[in-house]
Amino acid sequence: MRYLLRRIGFLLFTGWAALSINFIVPHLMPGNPAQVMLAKFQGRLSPQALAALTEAFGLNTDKSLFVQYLEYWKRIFSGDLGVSLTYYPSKVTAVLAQSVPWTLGLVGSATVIAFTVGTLLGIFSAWRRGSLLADGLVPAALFFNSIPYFWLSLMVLYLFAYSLGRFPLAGGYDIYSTATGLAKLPSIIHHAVLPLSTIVITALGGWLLTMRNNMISVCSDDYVAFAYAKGLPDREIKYRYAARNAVLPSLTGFSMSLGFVIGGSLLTEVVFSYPGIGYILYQAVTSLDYPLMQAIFLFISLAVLVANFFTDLVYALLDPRVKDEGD
Amino acid sequence: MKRLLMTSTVFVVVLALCVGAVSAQSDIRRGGTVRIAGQWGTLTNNFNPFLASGQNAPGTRSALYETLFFVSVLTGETTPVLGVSYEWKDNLTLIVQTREGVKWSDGTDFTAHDVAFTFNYMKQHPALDLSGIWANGMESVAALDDHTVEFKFARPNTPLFQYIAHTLIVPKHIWESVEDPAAFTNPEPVVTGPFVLGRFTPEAVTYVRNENYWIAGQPYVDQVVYRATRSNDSALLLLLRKEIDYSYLSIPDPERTFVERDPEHNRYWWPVTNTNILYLNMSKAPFDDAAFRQAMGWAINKEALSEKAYYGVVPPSHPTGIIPGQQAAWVDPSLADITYSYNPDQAREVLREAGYSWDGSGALLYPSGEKLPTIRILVGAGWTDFISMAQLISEDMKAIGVTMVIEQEPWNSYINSLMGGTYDTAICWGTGSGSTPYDLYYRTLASEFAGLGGGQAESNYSRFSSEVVDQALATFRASSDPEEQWQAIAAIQREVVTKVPYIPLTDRTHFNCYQTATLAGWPTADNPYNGGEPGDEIGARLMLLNLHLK
Repeated sequence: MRYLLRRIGFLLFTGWAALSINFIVPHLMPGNPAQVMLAKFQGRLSPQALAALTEAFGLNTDKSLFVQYLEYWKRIFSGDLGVSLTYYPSKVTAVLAQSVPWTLGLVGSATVIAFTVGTLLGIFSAWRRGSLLADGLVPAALFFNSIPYFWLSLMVLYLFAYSLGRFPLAGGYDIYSTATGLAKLPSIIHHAVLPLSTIVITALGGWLLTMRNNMISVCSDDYVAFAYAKGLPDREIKYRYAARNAVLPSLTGFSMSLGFVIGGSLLTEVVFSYPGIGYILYQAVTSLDYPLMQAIFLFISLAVLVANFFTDLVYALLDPRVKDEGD
Repeated sequence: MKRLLMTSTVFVVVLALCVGAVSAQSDIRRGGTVRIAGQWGTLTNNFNPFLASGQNAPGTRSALYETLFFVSVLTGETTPVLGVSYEWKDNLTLIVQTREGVKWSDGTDFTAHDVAFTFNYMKQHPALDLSGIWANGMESVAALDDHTVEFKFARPNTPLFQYIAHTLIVPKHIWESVEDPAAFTNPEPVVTGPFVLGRFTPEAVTYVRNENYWIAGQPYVDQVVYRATRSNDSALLLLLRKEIDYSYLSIPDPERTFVERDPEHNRYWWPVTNTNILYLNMSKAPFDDAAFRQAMGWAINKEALSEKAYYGVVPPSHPTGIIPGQQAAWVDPSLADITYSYNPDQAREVLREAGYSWDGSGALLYPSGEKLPTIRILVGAGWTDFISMAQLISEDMKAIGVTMVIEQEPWNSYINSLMGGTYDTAICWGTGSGSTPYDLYYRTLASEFAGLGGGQAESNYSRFSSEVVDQALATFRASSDPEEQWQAIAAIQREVVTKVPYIPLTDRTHFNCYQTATLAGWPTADNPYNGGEPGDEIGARLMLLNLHLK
């Protein structure tokens, strides 16, 4: 119980700190969005448009930074995340609502798949070490982990989508189809295969190696030797004794990755023209779209904090010693 | 009997004419879809024509709404659209005749009252006036009758015509009840254009043919689809696989990467509409010295810039910055010997005469004897063409003893440095372009945009200020006499080549790339009917009207 309360307190404190930094940092960036927008048109807008844009974007405020900070908190609690400047006058929540499901779907499932497959392969590689296949997985994992992501994704796109034409070149679904609801699913899956596999391939190696190393060090512990001595079946020792303890460090990393899922994967979105938050965030940063930037950073911070919080709880379930620590 | 013969002859002749007319038109196959891709990211469900492009869905300006006229930057020609003719009375009054027989897509008639309403609406809501029409001297707009609009000016400003001509017209009966137009997304657009809204999704927006369009028989195609990509490479791949017909792509070496893939169908048309310029921050030494600026002009090898950065596809600039299509009409022949063609010896001569010298290691010294500081050259982060140019420029300047270092900044910092005047030198585009050099000179040289007194320089990044130029600009504005206007531009050119507030480097083009496997009727250098404009701009309307199945 005390553990739970401690975790909640920590969550609230770090939440406050993250949100405050989230407010301050965009305002420290040089320039203002009206300037950026005017320049983007390379002379097609009149210089007098600067005044029009400044007024439209509500930038001509002379409120002090502290007052703006208080208003920021008020808006967060009322769920009003403001109006995006790049997608003016769409509300920030509308812009995010369109893209977040794509990111959660693609990057979320890619992260889960990479973690699960990588961890299982890591267990296999550690358990059967000495055999060709198990040992061969190590250099393979290192190789795939080291490939620059953008290079791999460009190669995959070029080979499978452009040259062979087996997969679509761009997009999240078929733009010409009028299917609705679940009927869109086959098209969505077809478009997701290439981006998903590139993310999984490059992320898998890390999980595999971490799990393998943890397993090897756990397998040399006394209690595993004791389990063998007791005559327990192999399978039970492998999963309930060794893997359960070996997976703990990986879990922390996994929770961080889950939190960052919501930040999107910019390179994937750029190479495969896949819809998602990554590109939206990139546009927001380069256009100095404060409301949109802050909203996305807000969600990333919250997602990481919440994911971490739940991981702490799961950790406590898996390893009861953690609960009593510090008492 | 004679009457019967007469009647039947007339009948046959009329029938033959009709068949002739029909078959002339039926030479053009109807139907088909124009597929356009662009790096728009997620599309926004907004069809408000008052907003800056990029804030509304692509197609709003090209397929849905129409303007009064279309003025081509390339040829200077004016094509009538919703306006059929215009006339200046004493430079303070502009009379425009609007087209008859045009209907809005909801059946209502289009009249001059819609035009007057549109402009007065922009006055009522200044956030909509992105061309700055009301801020530049217009005083009132009124419809004299159903087909005549009168624009009155407080002070003469004839170049403003281009911005008036390019204002998209909206229906009065819809917009007069909209309270906050800047925030209105216009989900069911009522338009006069060749297409109406079909279907919107965040990845692609489809427009379908307007059956009641005022040009009978056009558009030839049934649909236009604008689809979004998130990188130029995606759009290029789509174009190469013929999944799209057109895209606006600045691809390096278009001959090899694009045309050679399918020489029969792949085409690119990159007409020059602007200039890449090396801005010099005249509020800082050594750029406050005209001699130094002139020397820079002689020291830089612009041919090499065109070769290395643009593979020779985009030519070097004229020293006045005037684009090739306008040079014949506007360049002053008496300035022909000030060429600023690559001549480092000439550069050193100019510096020597101004009192500069070189020390033992070849570094340039001020007349006072101090060494010149390292000069920064600012470009946008990741812009490979500008970065290549910056590298060549710094090598050229090293040859005359000046050390330059390249500074890459992301978009917002880049603009902030330019407008805030914290840069030393920067490569950027001309901040104004139009059918005459006035637009370029006004934006880049007028004192009002120079941020004098420490403010922001909206477009005159060099922070140049000259009585002669301001006076000449005012003369041009106030006149519709071609001779007077020519003299004004000539005076400004003289200032540009003698005072060198900035150095034009290479021309700057639009990047039209398309494939002709399915559709014909594309604009080309021989037939530049749409001014070379990108597929989502107002000029593209003419392209969408002209395209048809092969």
